[in-house]
Amino acid sequence: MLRRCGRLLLLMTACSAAPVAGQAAPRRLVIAIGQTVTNVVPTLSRSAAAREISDLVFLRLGRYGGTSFGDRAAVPELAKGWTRRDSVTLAFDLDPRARWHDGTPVTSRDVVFSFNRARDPKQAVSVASLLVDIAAVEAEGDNRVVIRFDRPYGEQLYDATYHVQILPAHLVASIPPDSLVSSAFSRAPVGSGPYRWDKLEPTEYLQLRSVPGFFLGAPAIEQMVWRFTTSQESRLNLLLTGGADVQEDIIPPTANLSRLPERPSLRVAHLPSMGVNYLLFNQRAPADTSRPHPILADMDVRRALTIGLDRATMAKAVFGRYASPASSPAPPAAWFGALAPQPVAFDPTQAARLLASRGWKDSDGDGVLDRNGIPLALTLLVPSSSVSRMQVALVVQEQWRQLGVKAEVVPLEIAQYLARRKPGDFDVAIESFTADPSPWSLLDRWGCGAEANYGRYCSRTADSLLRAAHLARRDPAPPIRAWLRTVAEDFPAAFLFAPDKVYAMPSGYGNVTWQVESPWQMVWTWTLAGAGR
Amino acid sequence: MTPRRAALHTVWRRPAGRAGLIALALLALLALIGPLVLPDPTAQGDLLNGALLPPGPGHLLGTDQLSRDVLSRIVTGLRLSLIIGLASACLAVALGAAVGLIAGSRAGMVDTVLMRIVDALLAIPRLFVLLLVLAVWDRVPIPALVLLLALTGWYGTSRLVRAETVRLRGEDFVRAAEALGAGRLRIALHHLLPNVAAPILVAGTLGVGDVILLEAGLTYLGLGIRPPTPSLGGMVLDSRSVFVTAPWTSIFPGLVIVLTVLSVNLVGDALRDALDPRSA
Amino acid sequence: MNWLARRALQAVITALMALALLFFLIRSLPGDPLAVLSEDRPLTSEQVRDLQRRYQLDQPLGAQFTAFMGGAVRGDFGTSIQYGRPVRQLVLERLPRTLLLGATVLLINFTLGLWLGVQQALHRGRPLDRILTTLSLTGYATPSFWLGLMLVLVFAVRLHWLPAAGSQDPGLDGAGVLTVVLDRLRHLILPALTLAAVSIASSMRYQRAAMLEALRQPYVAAARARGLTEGQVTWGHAWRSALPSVLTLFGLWLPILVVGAVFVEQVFAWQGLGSLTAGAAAARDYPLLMGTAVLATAAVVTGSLVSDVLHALLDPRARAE
Repeated sequence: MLRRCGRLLLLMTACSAAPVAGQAAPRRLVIAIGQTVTNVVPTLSRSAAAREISDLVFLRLGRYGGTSFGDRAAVPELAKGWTRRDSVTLAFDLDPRARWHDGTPVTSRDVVFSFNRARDPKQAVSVASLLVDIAAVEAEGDNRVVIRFDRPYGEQLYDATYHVQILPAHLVASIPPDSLVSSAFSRAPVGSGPYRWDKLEPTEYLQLRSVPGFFLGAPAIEQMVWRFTTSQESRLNLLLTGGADVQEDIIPPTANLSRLPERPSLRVAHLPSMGVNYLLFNQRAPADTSRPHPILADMDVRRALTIGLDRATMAKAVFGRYASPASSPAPPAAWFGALAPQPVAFDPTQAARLLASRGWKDSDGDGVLDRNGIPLALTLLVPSSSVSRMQVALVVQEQWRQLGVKAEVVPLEIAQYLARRKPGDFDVAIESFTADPSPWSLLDRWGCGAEANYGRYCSRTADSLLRAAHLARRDPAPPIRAWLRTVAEDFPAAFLFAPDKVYAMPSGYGNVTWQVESPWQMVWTWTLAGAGR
Repeated sequence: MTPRRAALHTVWRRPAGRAGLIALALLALLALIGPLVLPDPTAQGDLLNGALLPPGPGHLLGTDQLSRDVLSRIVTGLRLSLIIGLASACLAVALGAAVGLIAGSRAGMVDTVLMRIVDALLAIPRLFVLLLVLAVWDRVPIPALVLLLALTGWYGTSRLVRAETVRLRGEDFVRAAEALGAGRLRIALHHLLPNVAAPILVAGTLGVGDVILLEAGLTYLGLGIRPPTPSLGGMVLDSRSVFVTAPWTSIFPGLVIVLTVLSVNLVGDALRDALDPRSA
Repeated sequence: MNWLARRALQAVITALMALALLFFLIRSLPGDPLAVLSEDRPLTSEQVRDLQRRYQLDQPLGAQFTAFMGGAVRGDFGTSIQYGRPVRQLVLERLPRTLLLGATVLLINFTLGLWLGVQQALHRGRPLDRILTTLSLTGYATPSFWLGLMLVLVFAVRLHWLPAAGSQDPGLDGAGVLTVVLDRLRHLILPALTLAAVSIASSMRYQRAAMLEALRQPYVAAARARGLTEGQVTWGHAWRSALPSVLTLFGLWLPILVVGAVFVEQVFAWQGLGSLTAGAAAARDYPLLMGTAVLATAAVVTGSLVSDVLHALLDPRARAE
């Protein structure tokens, strides 16, 4: 146990909190969330919430081990261990105790089936592209699976474990992939994890029940319930009036924290998130992406727009003390977050000087800088559903105004936001991106011509550094550090901060451990007795 | 006495109508003068120490999350609400009256087709169309919002005006005008319109209140007036997350909506009662 | 009967026209319904083509409309793009909550509302009438979303009497029927109260006017002269003769059930058809939007048909018109 704790990304806030007298920790945990979840089958679930729930029902060969590099990238889960045969082959030995919730043993057939399904782009849109380096997955008897890779690289074990949850072949193989979504299996999925599917009351709540004979140890919390409530203040009111026990985003606004004493059994738990908030600069003209952006293609302008923002005050105003500064695409909570450079300082004078040096002057005295008759005016896209990003947008608008930059805030429903972002129809967009714990996954956002590189940033130097890191077989840190510095200095975005995940939850649980990339994953190890007992 | 003065007079004679008129005048005055003397409603003060201040001497109605003055925002929002309400109710009534007059004064095909279209339009809930159009329109300019509210609000008036027109066509004075060889347009404008003016006025006045409420609701859903333009519905939306810890940010804008719509409706009701004494 | 058939046919035609109008309005608005599907990871052009074929977005508009109407007749409204599930299933999931809230509000308006209207008519011009008029007008002028928030503030957050949101508590699996019913009722009170408060004015006003009209009729005086009690006169004669015109109001209420509660649904996280529609519009989910459109239009048309028929049944003169 200790050995495992050491390798997890843990935040032991609970250990310091003494249990409140007379308040037993509930055996049933009701979590209020903003999304509605209808499906937790791994290849079908799209939302972050669905994936978090799915992680309790469906296991992987191994759980994320706190790094994406080397052969320590995973902790045993369905596989009780693995051996490296050569630089391109890993053999996994399944835990013979592992059972599906219907009692059938988990076998190598299930694993082969799940990998084949995940690698088929027709069936698993989002995962298949991440598994292109896997050459073959084969069973050796009932309990051993051998995975062969195309070439030697550092993230083999991570790729073989992080992306694929194992499905029961005996139940799923007979269902055509197209009808899986409407099948009886997806209405009542069967997994091998610590919690099994109990019931879904559509649009109201989803309930899981603990598996008493779970082969890694019986969960103490018997029921996990996710209650769907779209608006944030309704979630808080539910929490305070006893309709829910946990809320995952009690801030912003930080004023909410002052309400928690209304229910004395509540405490705050926070863990760093894998999300980074940034203002993405579009480097191509919104109307015609073959041409450079008339304003933002200039690196000095992007730099001025970044250092002209008081990011620290902004973070404090919106998130209180629950945010850390960010300087690059790397989330501070990720293992490679420590390799990122220091954020550039807030310096409005320097920002003004930079803009002036690039010819932006207020020649007509209207308070907005201009050059050759073109005003320094930008559209600022923001998803209206996000309370924090809306606030940030208005603060950015005001701070840029003081620089002489006019920003028009355009709040959009999420679907429209995505529809505008995809073809590059914007100047600046307020993004909040939650990364996978692998630096390689960031190529999709920041690599030249990458699918999700909406700002069309392109640096061949940066790309080759990241590729070097991916292929590194020893220490990937130097190329990653160089990559992060290169990206940070090109200002493809104004990196603002990384907000924490802030939970309000009942006190009294012992052994509270959070898994940063999927917070509830270890909830089955929590105990009902408080710390110290 | 001109018809307009007569209408004002009848409203003034009723206590409820008088209260409505006075309140409305005060609100309009506030909306006119307020922005001249109050701080900039979009200016943010000290973000760390000036946010969510309770009502007090510096800020009569407190400040919001971005340390903006709540009173300034209410006054600016009120002005916008009044403008949108008046403009789109006027437009709607004009459109409805035009369609109603045309349908009513030209029996036969034109009348049937127009009224069938109005039936079909009436079969689509107004809110449904507004939700639909506003949801896909990312930057709704305020004139477009006014137009949209008007375009979805004229059906009732057109039916009313048509019914009145059809009734009037049977009246002697219209027959006389026809016999004297007056053209259709002349009859419609000189004989029919003045006689349907009263119901139009009532519908228009009550329409103002409906539009103000509708606009506030749509903005509350995030679909109407977009930030940072201050609006009453938008203020309630923005302060939803602090409505318990800083209730002043949402109580006051809501109260102003109630007061405004109530006074408009009191005037409208007084007008209607004056014109249709049976219901009083 | 002939009249009824003609009236029903007219209703069907109206509904069809409305649906055609809406169909083309929805399709003429800009936006990409497939955008929501590419939130996590962008789709390849091959996948986009597959999806377009699946949702028939590659067909000409006319063919799409024919296909839609054909399906609609069979009760099949296609598959929601956003949820990947049949539209009918999604709508049916929300319908019970919408009906529960709507029916409760209707009940309040047609019992309490009518009773208050009658009291106003009986006390015409006196303080009771004035107070009730002012109160109901104030309610009518109040934005429902704001009133909802205020009620939550007082009754849920401060007093802890009622739940702040949702329509049921999870975890009543083993509980008895009574507990479950009580739980639903507790959740229903605040949203229903909010909607009733902002809408009761119209039924009160209608009833008051109709009652005043009835009280003026000679047979009311005749009834009094025959020595009937005030109660018998009021309810047995005047109220009954005022009923037809009040029932007309009933028809106007049906459509409000479908999307009218959207603001209140938002405040109370009440998962009804209003929020389903708002979400579908935001996501440009054509099939889901058309599904709710059918329901909304059907409600309006049925509403006005029902009120006409009721009126005709109770007041034969109306049929002659």
